[in-house]
Amino acid sequence: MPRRRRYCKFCADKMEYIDYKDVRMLNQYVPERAKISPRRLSGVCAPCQRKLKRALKRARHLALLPYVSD
Amino acid sequence: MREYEAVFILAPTLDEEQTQAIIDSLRQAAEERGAEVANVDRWGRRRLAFPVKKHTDGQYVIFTVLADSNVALRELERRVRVSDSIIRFLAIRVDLERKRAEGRKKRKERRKTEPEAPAPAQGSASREASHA
Repeated sequence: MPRRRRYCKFCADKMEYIDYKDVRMLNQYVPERAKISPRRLSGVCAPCQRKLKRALKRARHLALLPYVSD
Repeated sequence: MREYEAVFILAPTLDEEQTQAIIDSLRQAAEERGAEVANVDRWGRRRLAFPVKKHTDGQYVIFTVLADSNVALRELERRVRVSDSIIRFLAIRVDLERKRAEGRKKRKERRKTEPEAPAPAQGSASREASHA
């Protein structure tokens, strides 16, 4: 995650829908322990974080992402 | 018209023939209930992030379903529960997500196209009015 000048990637890309099937992209928001990274670290804006949360949880249900990992 | 995206994870133990049979029967079940299966996307075998019903791999199959009601989806879900070969299932309303995104876009546009017209004083007046 970038140290300074954080911005919301989803807004920058004008993304309207965050796809739960895009594992590569989602993986950037689940560091080591597979927890969802907080906005304070990732810089995602609040509306996008909510969409991201939905997508991550859907991906977890489909075993595309782990619920826990060490 | 509703647009659903239905994801099935099938057991890795099935051979090609059995897999196809399940996909065909699901498709038929949906179509018999007035839905249209517009697309079937097969991802093939994929490692699961965690074991599901003792399986470490799964075959991902994604249906794009167009329907006027949820009867077809209810039937798909029922079949998932009954079948041992389908280890996971997720259905989402794609059209709703799209509509929500469009609504947001429209509001944004409106804000952009009619700016400054209501002066700040007027703005606070109307806010008070709505409180009353």
